[in-house]
Amino acid sequence: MAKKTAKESILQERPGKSPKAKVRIDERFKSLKSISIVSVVLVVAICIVFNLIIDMTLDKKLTFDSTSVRSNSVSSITSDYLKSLNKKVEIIGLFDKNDSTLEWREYFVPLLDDYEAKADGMIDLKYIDPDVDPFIISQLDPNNVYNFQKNTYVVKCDDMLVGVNPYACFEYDQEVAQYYGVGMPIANNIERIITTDIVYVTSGRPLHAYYLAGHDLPAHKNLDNILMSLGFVTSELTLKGDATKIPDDCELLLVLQPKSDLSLVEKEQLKTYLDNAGKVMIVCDFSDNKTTEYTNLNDVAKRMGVSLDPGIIHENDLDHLVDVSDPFRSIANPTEAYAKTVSIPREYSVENCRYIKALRDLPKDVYVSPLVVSSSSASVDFQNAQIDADVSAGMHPIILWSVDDSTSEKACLITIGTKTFTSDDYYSGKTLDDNNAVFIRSLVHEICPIEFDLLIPQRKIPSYALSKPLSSSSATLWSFIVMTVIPVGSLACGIIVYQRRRHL
Amino acid sequence: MFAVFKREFLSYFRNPVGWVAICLMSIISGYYFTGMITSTFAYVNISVEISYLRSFFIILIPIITMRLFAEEKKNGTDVLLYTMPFSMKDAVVGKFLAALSLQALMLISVFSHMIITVILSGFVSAAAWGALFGYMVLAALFISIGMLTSAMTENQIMSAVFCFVILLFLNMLSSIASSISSIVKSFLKFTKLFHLSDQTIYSIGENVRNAISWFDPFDRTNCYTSGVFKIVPLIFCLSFTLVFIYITYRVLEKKRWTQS
Amino acid sequence: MIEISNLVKFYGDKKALGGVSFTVDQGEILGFLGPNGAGKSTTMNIITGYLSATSGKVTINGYDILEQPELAKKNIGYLPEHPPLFLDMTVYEYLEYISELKKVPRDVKKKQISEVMKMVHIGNVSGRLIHNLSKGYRQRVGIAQTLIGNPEVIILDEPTVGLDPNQVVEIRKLISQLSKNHTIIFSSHILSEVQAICDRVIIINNGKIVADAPTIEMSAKVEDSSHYLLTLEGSFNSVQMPLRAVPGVKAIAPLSEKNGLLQIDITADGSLDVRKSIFFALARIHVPILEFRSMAPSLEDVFMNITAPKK
Repeated sequence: MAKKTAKESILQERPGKSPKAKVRIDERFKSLKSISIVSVVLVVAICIVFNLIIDMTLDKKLTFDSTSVRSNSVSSITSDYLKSLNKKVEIIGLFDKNDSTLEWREYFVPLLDDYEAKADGMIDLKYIDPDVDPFIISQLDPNNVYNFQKNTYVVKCDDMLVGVNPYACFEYDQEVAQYYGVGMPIANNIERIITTDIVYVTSGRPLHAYYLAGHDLPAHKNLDNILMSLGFVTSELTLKGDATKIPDDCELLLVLQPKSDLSLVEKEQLKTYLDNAGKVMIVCDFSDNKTTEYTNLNDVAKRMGVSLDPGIIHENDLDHLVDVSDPFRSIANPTEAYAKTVSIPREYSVENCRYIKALRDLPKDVYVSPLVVSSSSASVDFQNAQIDADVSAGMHPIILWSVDDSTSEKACLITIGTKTFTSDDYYSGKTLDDNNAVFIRSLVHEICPIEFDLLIPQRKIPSYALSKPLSSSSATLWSFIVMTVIPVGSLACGIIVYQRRRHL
Repeated sequence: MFAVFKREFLSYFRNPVGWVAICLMSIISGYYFTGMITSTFAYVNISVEISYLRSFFIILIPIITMRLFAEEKKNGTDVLLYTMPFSMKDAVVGKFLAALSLQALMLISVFSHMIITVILSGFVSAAAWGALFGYMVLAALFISIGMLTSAMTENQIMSAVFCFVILLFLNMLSSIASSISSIVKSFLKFTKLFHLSDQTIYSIGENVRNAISWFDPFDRTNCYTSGVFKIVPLIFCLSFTLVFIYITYRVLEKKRWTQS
Repeated sequence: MIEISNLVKFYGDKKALGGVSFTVDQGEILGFLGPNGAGKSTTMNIITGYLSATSGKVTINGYDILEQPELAKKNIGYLPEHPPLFLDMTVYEYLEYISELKKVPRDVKKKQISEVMKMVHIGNVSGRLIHNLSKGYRQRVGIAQTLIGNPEVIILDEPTVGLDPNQVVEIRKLISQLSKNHTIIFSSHILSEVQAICDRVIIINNGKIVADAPTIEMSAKVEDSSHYLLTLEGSFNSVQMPLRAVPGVKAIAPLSEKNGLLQIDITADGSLDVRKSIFFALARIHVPILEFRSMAPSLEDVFMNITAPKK
């Protein structure tokens, strides 16, 4: 009996029945556990905080250019300039910084980082993808004057902006482009362009444009915006009496749709201005001023080899008409010669274009070239018809560019026969990325460039091309070597070692 | 530490694993390299090749790291690590270094490409060395992650899968960041929760995105590829590597106090 | 040498050890006896620091395994139930690795490895891959591993499990040999094995020590009674009386009675050999013995014997 109870007592003590409350864990294990957990949490937290701090304070300072040609660092010219910078400049990259499809990214991003580092806080570099932040472009450019695109940079200081097209910052291999039609960059002008742009945007508005008042100056808000985007300050100028003069700082004088002819004083002033290498833009269409005789204005124009006649361009090519029933509203094109030199749109709206022409006998040293022309079958309609009309149908100029080459500073006259490039009437309901606006902007920029070139030398882009191109057979041979020696060798080693050891 | 390092490193070559890894790497990189030398312009840019190789971490790292601890646990040899008179730290560091060394050895194919490039009178830029450096820094980080997954599981396959998933996640971190930020933005927009302006919602979304992509190791080490030598990404990767090594150590040490 | 006090281990809610305490002195061979799942491996794993206890304390040579693990572990060589062998290494490579882990100085490493290999007779396989070794050899490599670094204490967890009888004999011989220079703890669920080698036996069951005594005392207790299993041709009633009359027979229990075949279990006094008397007693009543088996005392019998209150 006694034996049996002993047996039972052993059998009864089965594991797994002790209630949990009874488990008393040694304090030492508990403390090890808490040390363990706390230390892991602490280490992670410290690591993150430490990295955050380092990230915010030292990132820019602990950046070094490891390239042999220092292609990721700004030159001393820029770096000296950045040190003297006293205005906050924003540089905004309108793209996703991590977008690896932008092949120019590796030239821009590190270099601009260096700008930011060297500027001592005066340059604020940001990357904002307009696809992600749809507001950014309208925020930078509410009037849509600049027509900023995705994948470009914008340099900004106060209300001065300038866009940088990355592709335009490279010089391409002509041969490759010719044979393969591919742009293969061989050098970059990034630093030159960016630094110049920074100088420009921080310079305040360096240019002054004047509108000639006194002849019913039409509203010109949009043109104002365009000019401002090019660094102009604009004001109106009244030339009355002998005392008034065109100011010395006048970079560009605009004569917009005068309802009446110029006065003699104005005529003389303009001529003097042109003699002193001035730049004038005359816009004179043929709509509500059909009968006005522009004798004095013509005198000024003739000085630059252009005449404005009381006729209207009648477009006969139906493909060039906006509305088949209205021959006076048409689409004009840039001349081939001009379109080659600048990148501009190919079609412009034209309305009631006055007949303008280059004189047969040009004054000495004056050259006139058409920039925008009608179709080759346009005729001229002399509505007052008194004029001896020996004008046949053909290609007629809409915009003429005259240059006086006699002095080193060249005088220049732009004559535009239609108001569709300048007037608010035309732009109402349109944005300033309209073709006509893009054209006028490009044109003004060309005749009044901002001269801030710091002459930073361009940088050669090291060519990764093999200097002796491989023949196809040797390329195949090398490929074969590459694809066999190490892969097969390592596999063979593996098999040999494995086989040998397997039978040890 | 050296003992564990030596055993672990040699064991890669006693088994086919190390050889296969080297073979795999040389095939992947060789494929890209031959693509470059046979292209129309024969443009051979080693740093681009290395950037390309970074996308294969996701496969190569799990292969290297899956066995580190999982196999020992399966075979019962982990007893040695626990009952021998040395610290578990040494074991962890030794194994980490072994895996890192294998990874370095795998770059032998890239070195051979550099030499071939020089022979063929090509240009090996500083950026190529920078890219190589960035590659190894990233490799160290990912190996420490892989080692942690290996320490946490008992099964090599599980360990490899976990590691793969984590690396995949890191690979897609920037796109994950943007999708989360757009989710946050559209959530705030449609629920009109706090009546925020579009501009505020946008900046909240951007901050969310930046906060997430702050952790993106690929993004951080991109600079090395374009010839910029930054210390901060290096500190970032190495400090997180140390953190993962430390966590691995703690996970293994758990056996000393765990009650289950 | 080794002090274990009040070791408790829970796996979740399941109690594996419930307050195990004992000490092992220098030079002792301690047999650790118990059925499968009794807590032998758990105890050993805790002693060697492979597992944590829930509470309790283990000190080896005065070093607490939890607080000074490295110093404590220096004194132990441990062979767990599954030998921790790297199958992809050769024996020599493996032992070299172990000596590096144990921080054996470089200059004595080679000498020590060859000594150990000689001692466990694996010198002839030193260049072979462990993967290709037989179970007995693997076990010996496992034991060799414990000897590297010359630890004072050697702990072997079921070193003879799964070996064929020849190998078992060899391993036992080996253990006896080692006992000259080492303190040894080894576990087994085979009573005779423990009896054959150990100075002292600890019997553990369900996580508790049920006996702790020198082998001699234990043997006496165990041999207190012996069991015989007989298969007879006859009925229980007919054999009961004659068998009871045999001196030394303490109890008879029928196990089965079928088709005229009877199986009975006889409990007899351990000090007397009753086999001859039983044979003659049955011969006398013409009951043929078809099978006569002497039952080795099962562990359960042992427990019963040693835990049973003295009559």
